[in-house]
Amino acid sequence: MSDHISSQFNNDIMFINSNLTKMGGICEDNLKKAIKAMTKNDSKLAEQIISKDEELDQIENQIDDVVIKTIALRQPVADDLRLLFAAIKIAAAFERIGDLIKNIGKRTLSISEEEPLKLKAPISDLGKQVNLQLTKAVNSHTTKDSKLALEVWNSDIEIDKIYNSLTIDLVAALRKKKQVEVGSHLLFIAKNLERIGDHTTEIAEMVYYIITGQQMDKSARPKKSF
Amino acid sequence: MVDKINNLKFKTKNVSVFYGSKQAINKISLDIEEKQITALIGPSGCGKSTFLRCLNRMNDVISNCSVNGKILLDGNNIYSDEIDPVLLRAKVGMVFQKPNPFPKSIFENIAYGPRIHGIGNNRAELTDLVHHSLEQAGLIDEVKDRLDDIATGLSGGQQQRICIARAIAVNPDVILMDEPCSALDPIATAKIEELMSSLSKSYTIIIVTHSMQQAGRVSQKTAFFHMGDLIEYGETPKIFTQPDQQKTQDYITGRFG
Repeated sequence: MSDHISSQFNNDIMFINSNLTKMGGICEDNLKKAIKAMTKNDSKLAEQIISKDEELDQIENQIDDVVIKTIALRQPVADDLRLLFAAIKIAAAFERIGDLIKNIGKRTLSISEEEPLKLKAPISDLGKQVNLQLTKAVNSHTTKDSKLALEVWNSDIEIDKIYNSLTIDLVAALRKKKQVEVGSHLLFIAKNLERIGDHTTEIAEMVYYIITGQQMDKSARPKKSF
Repeated sequence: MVDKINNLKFKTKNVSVFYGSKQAINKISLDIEEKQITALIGPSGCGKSTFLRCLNRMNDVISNCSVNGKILLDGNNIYSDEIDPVLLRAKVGMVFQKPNPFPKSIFENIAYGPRIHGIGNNRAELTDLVHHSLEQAGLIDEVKDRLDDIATGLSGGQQQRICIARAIAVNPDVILMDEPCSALDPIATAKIEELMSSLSKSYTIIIVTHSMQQAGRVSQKTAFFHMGDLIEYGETPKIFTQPDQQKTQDYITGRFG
């Protein structure tokens, strides 16, 4: 794609794109650490994750400011307008993902002294699957790849399936072992991962919209998770 | 694709215009719907004003200009021998970039057209017509007490609305506007745009504009011209959010070098 005649406009668009990529990178990295912290009962790592969330909030605010300024000053149209509209939604999705990861960190601190359940392993698998999706969504934005965005969107159903079966197993195990406190935290962590999957899907929808100008057919992929 | 609800006012087929040996527009085929606002956009020299001027044969007055192809107004070829260009220009009125009222009174500016076309047989009928035209142009409250004042003493925006009233007075079907707001401030521009929107209930309006925001605000259909070619024509919201052609996108987003 060729550049705008206005170099300031180009700079603003570049700022937005690079900061969205940055938010994506922080989320990927933090999610990886959150899964590790939970699995290894690593409270130091969990605290590190919690403190990182503030940076995401700040970047989201910066993106929003540049988007608002650009709309007011340049009256963008066509693909520029789609990018700016989508940037606000993508940044908000990353910010929500950041909150959910932070919550995983907090819950990890609460359960770090507890005896680890065997069920942490499937939660960790779910987390890795979600992080893979997140990486693909971030890449689809960076490389403007609508096919990859579509792939992310279509794969969320797999995450829902893993989450549903995990929830059933977790509830059954809790009933048996009566570890209500740690079990509740783990249920919430699993739910957070499933929600991160949903936000990742929203990002893929927006990337697809930026590139093609078309909205994905949301009725084609009904939500099936708890 | 033509919207079935609206009748076609103009149908142009393969219209090419040459100034001497230089071709200004190349085989333009465009259907313009009745009682809608159609915007023509494109960089300077793209042929949009040339095309506009074909629609009421204003190019006839340029000696080395030749027009090929067909332009049908309500199904009739406006370049056929039976068409009187003077009557055509009453039916297809025009408003220019720079307001150009006659150096006469406000009343005379509006009454001039009807007089030469034999509309309004006496002073009372003419007065009614002048009032009605000024009312339609949204100017009556501002000028009703000074109809004998010279029109060139009005503000730019008012002068432009005088020109619109003057076009309306001869009972046209179509009003062509060639950058009607480029010499006006934002308030006067907003008034003209509001006027265009109310006039489009009774008239077909075709506007050439350099302001893409204006095309977006006022028109239902937009045609993008580039180097004499019609690149894309479609619903205005679609053109400004999701144009089909890369050239259109490059132009409206300010990427054209």
